[in-house]
Amino acid sequence: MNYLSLNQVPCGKSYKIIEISAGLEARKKLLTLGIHVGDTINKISQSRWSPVLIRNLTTRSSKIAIGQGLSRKIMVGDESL
Amino acid sequence: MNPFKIVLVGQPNAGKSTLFNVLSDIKAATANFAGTSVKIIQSTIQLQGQVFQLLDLPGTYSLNAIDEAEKITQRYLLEEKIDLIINVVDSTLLARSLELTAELLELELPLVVALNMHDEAEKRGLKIDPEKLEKALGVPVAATAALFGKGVLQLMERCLQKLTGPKSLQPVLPYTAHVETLVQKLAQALPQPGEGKNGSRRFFAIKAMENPVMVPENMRQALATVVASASREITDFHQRDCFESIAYERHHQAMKLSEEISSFSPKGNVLFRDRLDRFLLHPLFGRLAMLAYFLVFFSVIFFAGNLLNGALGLILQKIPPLLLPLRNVSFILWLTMDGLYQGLAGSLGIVLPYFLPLIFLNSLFEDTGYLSRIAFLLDGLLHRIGLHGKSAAAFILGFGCTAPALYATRILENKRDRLLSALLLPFIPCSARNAVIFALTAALAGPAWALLIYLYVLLVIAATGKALSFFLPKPSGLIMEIPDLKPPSWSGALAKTGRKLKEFTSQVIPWLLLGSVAMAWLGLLRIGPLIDSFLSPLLKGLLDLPAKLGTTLVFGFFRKELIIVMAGQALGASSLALLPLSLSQIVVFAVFVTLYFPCFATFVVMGKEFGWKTAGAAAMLSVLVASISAYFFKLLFIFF
Repeated sequence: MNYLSLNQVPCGKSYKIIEISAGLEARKKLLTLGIHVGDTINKISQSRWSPVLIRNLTTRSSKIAIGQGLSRKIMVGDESL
Repeated sequence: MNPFKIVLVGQPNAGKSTLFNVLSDIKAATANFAGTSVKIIQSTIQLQGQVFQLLDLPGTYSLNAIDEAEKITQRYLLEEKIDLIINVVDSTLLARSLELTAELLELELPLVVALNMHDEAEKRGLKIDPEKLEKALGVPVAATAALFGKGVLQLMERCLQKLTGPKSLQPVLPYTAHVETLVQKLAQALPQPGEGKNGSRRFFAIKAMENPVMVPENMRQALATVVASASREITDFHQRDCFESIAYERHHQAMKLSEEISSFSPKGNVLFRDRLDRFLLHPLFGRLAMLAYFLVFFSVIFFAGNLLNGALGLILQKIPPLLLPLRNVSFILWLTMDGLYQGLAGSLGIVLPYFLPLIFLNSLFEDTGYLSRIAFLLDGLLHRIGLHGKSAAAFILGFGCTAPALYATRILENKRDRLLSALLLPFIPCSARNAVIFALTAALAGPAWALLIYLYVLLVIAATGKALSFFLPKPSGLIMEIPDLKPPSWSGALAKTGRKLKEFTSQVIPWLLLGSVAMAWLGLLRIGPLIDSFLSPLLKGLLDLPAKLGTTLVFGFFRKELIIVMAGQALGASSLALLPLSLSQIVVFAVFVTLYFPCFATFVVMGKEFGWKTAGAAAMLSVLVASISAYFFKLLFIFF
């Protein structure tokens, strides 16, 4: 499977985070909220006027909302990778 | 004997404030929105004959502070004298929470861990063994459920033991061999941190690579080259930025630890609140629910307010005839007493009725986590006006009072977002202005006008935001935690309302009484007419309002409630319903009052948080927008 950005993949499924190519501040903030490269996440929802909603399955975190712009910079791949 | 100083440190929503509330009689305002306690709250408690000074620091995800609220905690932990840290851990988010614990251990201050929401984690299938954690960390651990007051006494006992017992060396969690060697090498080369500063050499060795701005200047300079080479080594070895490498190391420490001390067996049942959450966050149903929420919110305030207003009015009506005989005794005395009565009637009969339901509803929903759902749903809309969802919390708090809402912008990471939110916040009608809108429209125009004014205010905020965005850089992206839903607590909301009511009677009502008496005297001293004639070009010339309202607007800058308290006095009406104003004048007046700069307190808070220039600019902006808007409404009445 090719890598796709978080905003391109269907909701309701789980993915592995392959790369986060966002700016420094955004990467720092993601880290403090417990989002890491290599984590398995579940994409809960996405709609035109809302951020992407995910839950980190590796750390069993609470839900995290990620703005549409930033979600384009998070590359995800198949869960089994 | 000096009291022991204990600080509560934890990630946002770990239940820190709830624990603090249980521990102290003074109940701090907690809110289930990531980062609503943005100020340090303290209380003194006594236990087993020992006095403790307890401080609740703003929630922080890590010691590498990103937003203003986190910076307050970071500064406090590094610079103040602290006897003990209670690290409040959200057990349901064990792995992530332990990352902060690992960081706190590096400070090498006495530490006790409170495994909070222990019961909640178990409900979700996560079994944590506090004893194992205690062994692994080498610091006391107590399981608590602060919401139900469970385990709190045991926690304090462990703290007391730690404080009075023999000083033992606290272990730290080691990094992987490569990084650990570098850290130790750096730590040895570093000078001791200065007098009165917290943090060990090891702590600063790590921060020198991870987040150099945290390291004191003298230490940084002494080691610039060593740090640079160590950082390069780590970056090359891990193929990642240095701060990321360290963060990942800490993440692995925490993951490993959490796996050792807990077992997870997923429970098949979907909790009701998870199903409810799916509905509340749904793009369509969630938004409908949000609209319904706002509609109910304001309707309850409007109708409950009217009800209270009528009931209290009946009682207050009985007072003036009792004062009348005084007039024959001494005119000045009667004037003063009548001024006092007007103030009392205004504060109890008009302001309080609308204030009470508003603060109660706000208190009830603040703790549930619904605010972050609103932030999530409004994100797209707020993007259009150059902001993002996180500002929503500040705006909603703004319906209560503008000053704390300004503090709430501290959870925004980006300076630009904070500034724009702060410039727009004064336009949100606070409880005082809600009372003005509701009381004026209820008495003279009807609820439809109140609704129209609110819609117009939202429009003004959107347009102003859009216009200001042209002069500012692009907004940053949203990254926000949506904490789990919690049921509203009626008793908690009642207690909080009681506290705010007490604050209102002790801090607001005296000013309203004073202002009202001043207004009565001003009439006698003929200073009022001077102010009125100064403002007359704006009021009479532009907006076609009685010039006598000028004085009320000036007093309104000190407290907006004064406007309705004084309007009747200024225009010689015994009740709001008898104000000699036409429908158009009422609406124009309400629009102007709603939009012009809230109050003196807001001005001071804004000056302190954003600089006096910004405060001045915001004040001028709001008067300008208010004048234009009021004029616009006047034209509307002329043409339609």
